[in-house]
Amino acid sequence: MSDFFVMKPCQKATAFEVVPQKQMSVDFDSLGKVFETVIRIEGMMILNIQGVQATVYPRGKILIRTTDRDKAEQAVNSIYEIAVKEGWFKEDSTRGSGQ
Amino acid sequence: MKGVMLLSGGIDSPVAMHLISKVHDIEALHFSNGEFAGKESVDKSILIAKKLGLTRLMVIDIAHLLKEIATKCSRKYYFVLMKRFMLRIAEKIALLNECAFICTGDSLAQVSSQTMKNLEVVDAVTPMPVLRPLIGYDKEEIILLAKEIGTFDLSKGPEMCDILGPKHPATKARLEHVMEEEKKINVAALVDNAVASARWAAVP
Repeated sequence: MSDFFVMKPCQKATAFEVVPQKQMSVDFDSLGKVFETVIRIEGMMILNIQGVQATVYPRGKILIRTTDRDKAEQAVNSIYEIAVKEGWFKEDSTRGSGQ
Repeated sequence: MKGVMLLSGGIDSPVAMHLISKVHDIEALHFSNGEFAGKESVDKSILIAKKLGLTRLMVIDIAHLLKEIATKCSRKYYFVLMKRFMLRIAEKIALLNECAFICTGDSLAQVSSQTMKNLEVVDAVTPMPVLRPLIGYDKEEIILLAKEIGTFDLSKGPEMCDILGPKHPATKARLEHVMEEEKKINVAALVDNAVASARWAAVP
């Protein structure tokens, strides 16, 4: 995961922010078929990954709501293992860098 | 005269509470967003309530209501719609507790959704007076006061931000547009359910 993404604690330390090294494009429809969707609205979706909430943004940033780094990493890995493999997180060369 | 104070876990509302409670009796009401923000904000608010000398705090979880707004209404009005719901609920809680006014920690233009125009649309939802002791304060003044009364460090504590809010909220909401958005959801039922779920949290 670390080659692909950077994970850091959120400003107020109740979540971890995972940012892709490259600009991504996320397929929300496919993610929603595999993971339990808590809510999906314009510009974001919240998934329940093994009891942890993961907010996924269209360009690949993910916010994991937990203070436990191990749990956060597990949740992120669960998403990326399948999403990257299946092409649901694709590098998006049409967009500039940054979130 | 007694009023209902909307007490969040943030920096501003405890300061507003401190100011208003000098001259009025206050019941404090905390809106939580349990499903999306965790229980940290409730824990923080209880600590803040204790610091402010309160013995109890009313807590209402509005996660379901916020989900309805976020999924069914135009997102740019999310904060205005949320605040109108808060005032509707606060008005009912006020009447049940013999309170004559509502008090909030709003200060003008501190965040993009807190504009004069938006506050006008928010206030239109209730005939009850809405007092805002911090309306003309800037953030530095509020922080200074928060430090003086000892709530600043508590307010700084861990809390999840409101992730359902839009990146670019409306800053000049128009009442007719907001009321159109409210037709997309069952306002009365959402308010009644929220009021019915209110519980008093003991402040140890």
